[in-house]
Order: sequence, then C-alpha cells, then structure tokens
Amino acid sequence: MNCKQTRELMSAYFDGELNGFTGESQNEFRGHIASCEACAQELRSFEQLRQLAACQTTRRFTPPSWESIAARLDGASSRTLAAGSDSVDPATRDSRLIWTRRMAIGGLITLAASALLFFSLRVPQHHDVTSATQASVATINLQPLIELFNTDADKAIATLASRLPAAEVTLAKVEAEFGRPTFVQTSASNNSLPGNAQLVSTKLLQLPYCKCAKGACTCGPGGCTCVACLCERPDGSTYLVLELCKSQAITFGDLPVQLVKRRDRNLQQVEANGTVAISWEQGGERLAAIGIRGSQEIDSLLAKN
Amino acid sequence: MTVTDESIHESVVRRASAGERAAQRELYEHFRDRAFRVVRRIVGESDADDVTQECFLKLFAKLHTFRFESQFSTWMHRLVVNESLQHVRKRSRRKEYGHPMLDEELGQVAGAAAMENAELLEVAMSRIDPELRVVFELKEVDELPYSAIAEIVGIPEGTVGSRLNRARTELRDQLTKLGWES
Repeated sequence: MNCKQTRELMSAYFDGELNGFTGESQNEFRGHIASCEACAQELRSFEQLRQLAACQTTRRFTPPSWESIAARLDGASSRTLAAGSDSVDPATRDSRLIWTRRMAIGGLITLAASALLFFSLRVPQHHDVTSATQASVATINLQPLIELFNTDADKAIATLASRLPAAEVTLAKVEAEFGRPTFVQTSASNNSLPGNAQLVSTKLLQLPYCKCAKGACTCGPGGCTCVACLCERPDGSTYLVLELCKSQAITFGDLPVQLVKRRDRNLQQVEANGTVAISWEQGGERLAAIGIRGSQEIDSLLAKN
Repeated sequence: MTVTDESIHESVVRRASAGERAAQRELYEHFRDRAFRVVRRIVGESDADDVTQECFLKLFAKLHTFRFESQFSTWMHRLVVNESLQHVRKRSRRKEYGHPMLDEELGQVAGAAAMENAELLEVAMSRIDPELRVVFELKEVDELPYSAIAEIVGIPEGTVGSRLNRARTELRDQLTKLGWES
C-alpha cells in the first residue's frame, strides 16, 4: 500500500469504519503507517484535532428560547387564520373577510400616503427639519450595500443610487456641490490613497433635505449632498468612501455594530459577507468606508482626517 | 412495557404533528442544543439564532411528512443541515483573502500565545467550506457513524471518509496558519 492509498483510507481507519476491508487490507494499512513517518504524522494530527474538538464540546452556547419559537409559530397561525380555512364556519369567515378587506384598504391608503410623503421629501430643502418621519426617510441605510459589496461592488452602489438621486461628477462639480474637496480626492491627487488605490468613480448623491444647523452646512445651493468615491487597489478589489454632513444619519440596518476605539476616534464597525465597513465623525463630517481592508488602511484613513 | 427513547419520540412527534404546543415544546427542548450547535457551526454565530428558529418552524410545518421509517433524530438533523447550508449558499461567499482585519489581529494574538485552543479551532472551522465543517462536527462532536452522517448530509457512505480527510487536512492547515503548534 502506498501513501496515496493510505491517505485515502486515513479517516475511515481513524474512525473505525474500515468494515468493508479484509483483515489483510487493514494489516497493509497498519504496516504502511509503521514504516512511513509522514503518514504516521498525518494520523497523529487527526488525533490532535479530535482532542481540540473535545475542548469545544465543553463550551456552552445558548440556543433560542422556546418562547421565541412559540411566538413565531403563533404569528404563522394568525396569518393562516386570517387567510381563512375550510374548518371555519361561514359566518365567522365572512366577518374575517370583511375585516381583512378593511385592513387591506387601510394598508393601501397608508402606502399611498407614505409614497406621497417620500416623493415630496425628495425635493431638496435647505432648512432645519425635526420630524421623526422625515428623519427616518433621510437616514441612509448601508446594509444592502455592505451585504452585496463583496460579490458585486457596482450592484451594491446601485442600491444606494436607487434610493437617492445620483450622478457621476467631476472634481470641480464636487467642490461646487459639496462645498469642499473630499478627503479621497485630495489623497488621490497626492497618490496617497489607502491600499495604493486609484480613484475610479465619484458620485454625488442628493439627500432629501438638509438637517444641518443654520449656517453650518457647506453644501452648495443644490442642497445637502453625499459624495461616494470608489477606489480600486492594484489587485482589482475596491472600497467605497462616503462623505456627508455630520447631521445626516447613516445606519447599518440589522447588522450588529461594534464600537471600536482607534487612534482616539470612536468607530462604528460592522461586517457582513466578508465586507468590513466603518463609520466615524471628523469635524463637521460623517465618513463611512465600505470594503476597507486591514488595520493599515483604517489607520491611513483616520490619519488623513 | 419499557419506554424507549424512540417510542417517546414517536408519541411526541405525533402530537406535535397534530399541532399540540406542549408536544412541540418537548420536541424543541429535546433537540435544540444539538440543532443549535450544528447550525452555529455551519452559518456562524451572528445568524445562528435566526436560522435555528427557521429550522424548527420548517420542522413543525413538515412534521406530517415524517414516516417513522428512520430515526427521527436523523430526519431532524438532515433538515437542520440542509436549511443551514441553504442559508450559507444564499449569503455571498467570502473572497479567498478572508477577513483581512481579523487575519492581522489574530496573527498578533496567536503569536502572543493568548488564544485558547477552543477559540483557535472555532476560527479555523470558520475558514473551511461549510460542507466540510458539518461532517467534522457530526463525527467529532455528535460521534455519529458514517452511515448516519451519509444519511444526514445526503452523500454516499463511501464519500464520508474522503470528506473527513479533506476537513481534517484543511483544518490542520488553517490551525497551523494561526500559530497552532501540533
């Protein structure tokens, strides 16, 4: 028996599953292990892994409670009941249907009202706004972008552009609309972007309205804007840097957020599908970097701001 | 008459299948630790709670299809593994360079010999294919025979050994990269 044959049977032998093999074959296996240090070491490593796994089994993790399961089962049952069933008597079914229709009509009215509110808020207005509804509409949710970024950066950025009017712009236009050159453009002009990257795309996104304190916003007459700069590293991978006024909120949706202190800055950090994203404040701005790699790139970003 | 584990399961399964909440709870509490461990191994910590809940909702919905022709635990295991692997497939795959920030930080920690072996294995497991993770877990933690693993994962019994070979080799390589000394 040679090494290749021995290694093919290694796990089966280790786990006592060589049932289909004759005693002679098993002896050949043992004979090879006794005479081949490499294969013997392989077998020993399996035992070491087993011992490591045994350490794992002593760790306790808490599964979801029965109550959380029951709540979801009850939720599913309610939906089934609302849809009606053959076992429900006609009078009860009819009254449920009437209520279901009323709820559906109410839902449609609410949906129409929300759409009206959303589209009206898309017109940029350069003044203070404090209502909760407007605040929620104006919050930029980066979760869809982060989740897609690793597999398709263009599609990921499109999730942002689909919710906010966006345009590919020149450096001059950014300065005019944003009120100042962005950190990415300044670094790009000095060939000092993190990760030795090149700036490949600059998009200007129009935010629904300005939430800055009076006189604090540096954005141009067109209204409050957000700049999204896509940078490409020599290996073809990319990262995105967003810059916007500090008063504009960003959120990571349902992604768990870690609060991290680095270089005296408080960062929010999330990770999804292999993409790391961070967000922090600098002066009057809020910045977010998606697809950033390694502490070196983060330090480089923070050092420049 | 001696009440065996299987007969307990059968009566509970039948009542749970009929929608009896108490029986569903009994079934859940009997299998939840095992299921959660497998789910967590395949999908990772952040999604484990959600996916475990989804698994059991699906289990209760499909309970009427269980024919008592095999062990209930094998049927449950199979459902949990399939749901978990499906969840992973829906998520985008990680690029080959993995989680760079974590790589750097762990490199430092491993060098300082600060990481416990259990944590090392946890990280190494997260870096191999989910389908390899599951066979390793079912063998090393659940101590199932190849025949049961084959049935749960839906592969020929002869393939279990080769898959475990790959799982063990890749785990060892990942552990070595993390500074584990064998």
